[in-house]
Amino acid sequence: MADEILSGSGGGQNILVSAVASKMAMLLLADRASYRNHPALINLGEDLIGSTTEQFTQYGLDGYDLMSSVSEIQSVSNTALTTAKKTVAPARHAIAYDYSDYMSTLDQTGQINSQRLALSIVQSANMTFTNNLAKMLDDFSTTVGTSGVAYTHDTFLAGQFKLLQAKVPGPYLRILKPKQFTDWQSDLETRGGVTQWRAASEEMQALRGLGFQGYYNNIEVGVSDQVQSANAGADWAGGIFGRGAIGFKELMITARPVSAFIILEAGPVRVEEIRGGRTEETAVRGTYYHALVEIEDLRGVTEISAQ
Amino acid sequence: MPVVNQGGGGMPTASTPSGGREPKRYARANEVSTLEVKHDFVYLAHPLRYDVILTDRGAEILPSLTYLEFQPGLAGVLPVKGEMSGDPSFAIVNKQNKGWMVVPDDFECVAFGERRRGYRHVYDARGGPDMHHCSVWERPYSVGGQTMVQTDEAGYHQFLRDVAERVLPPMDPNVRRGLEAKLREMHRTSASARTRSYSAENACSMLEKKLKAFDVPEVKPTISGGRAPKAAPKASPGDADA
Repeated sequence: MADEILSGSGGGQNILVSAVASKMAMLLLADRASYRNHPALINLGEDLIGSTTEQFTQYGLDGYDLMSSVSEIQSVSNTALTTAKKTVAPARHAIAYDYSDYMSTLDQTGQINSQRLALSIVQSANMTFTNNLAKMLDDFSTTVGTSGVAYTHDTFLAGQFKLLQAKVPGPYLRILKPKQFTDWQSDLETRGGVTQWRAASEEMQALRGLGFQGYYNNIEVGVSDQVQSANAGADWAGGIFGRGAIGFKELMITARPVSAFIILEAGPVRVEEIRGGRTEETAVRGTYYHALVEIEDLRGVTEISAQ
Repeated sequence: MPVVNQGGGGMPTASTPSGGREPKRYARANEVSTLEVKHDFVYLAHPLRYDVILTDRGAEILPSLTYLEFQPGLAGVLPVKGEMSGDPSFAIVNKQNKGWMVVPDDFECVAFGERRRGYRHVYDARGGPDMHHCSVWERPYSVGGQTMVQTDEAGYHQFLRDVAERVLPPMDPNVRRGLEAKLREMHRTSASARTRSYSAENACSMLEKKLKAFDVPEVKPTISGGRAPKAAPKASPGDADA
């Protein structure tokens, strides 16, 4: 036999291309769990006029000062009002994609267009926020855990206890690196006593991917790959904090020229399309002005454990 | 002559006949920088922030440092027009008000056996005009398309001892007492059957001996960098002696 029409030779080989591009579009692995809307964070507003920075004040009122015992007709002395000032300075964070008309025409997956990229940019803003939040976790002067030693249930409890001892109100959020969380899972597995019988201990063993893992001792436990390293790369620096430890300020960009072609405005995230006329290229640029600040140091605890 | 592996989809193996031709070159993973942008930074020490750290001398009580990254918008770092890294002066003063002390950026230290001034260096980074700044005790390198970091823990621990001696005031007795209790607790925990079984302990100890005997070759950085960063933006007067 000869001249069979086969896929690897003769006419058949000329008909087929080396590979067919799939029409399916899938996402690459990435951390996509955002903590921006967690109630433990304080939103410091979206306005800023007259300066690039804003100061806000904390007051020692509503139970901060106690009364003195004074006898009849004795004069009571004035109490100095305790205040603390913090400064927040929103900064520009931006991302841009640039694609040609030709590429957009050829794209069989429907991903290379301004609207799709604009949606992606909103999530990039969310994750930039979470990345910056994770960077604040190593800033607290109170630490628990030990450098070079895996995260254990003792670390978990020590962080919780520090918050209670420092009078910190909830809601509480604990953010751990995946490795810290799995070390804790391992330790919970080996625990005896009361811990082994608790429903929450069992709940924490479930595989949920990144993000919210559930509650343990009334603490919301989250896992984020954005948690940063510490001690020259030897450790991870996760953390736990109550409401008022960290605040953020986002800035709405309201002034714009009429020529700006805004294709998406999601709160403080603004995405603009810019057309390059001569090159037949289109740029999609997203901007997000925001800042994070530690409001009160004692309201948070850094949790150090081995990588 | 057999035609082998022209499509680029498979990996060449030792048993693949090459027919005397030059083997096809694949893009080497270690030529690609996968490091995230990380801004310039300064180390900060706090008189109350110490930790029990396991070093080659055993468990030691050493400062637990943090770093202030000069990222505009973060912790009071102000944006600077045209600069990727922001102005940290205000943020540093804020930190100093809370008791943090700046470790001068020209602090003399030893990393990977090399004596040097300054504890930061920079590497190329992915996705941005800025670089990846990290401590000199970290050497990122790429293998198999992934970024790994070689760390000089002994060098970093010596740095911490120097910071305790040259930057921080003498340790407050209360800090020492608290950490000594933690140290005792650590010894109890490691000896407890609850957390470690005898066989696991034995296996750990054997593994440790094996690792010590195994001659680990020095990893050379494969990402261009390791250069000294630009001089840090000037902080407010008085930072140097903080």
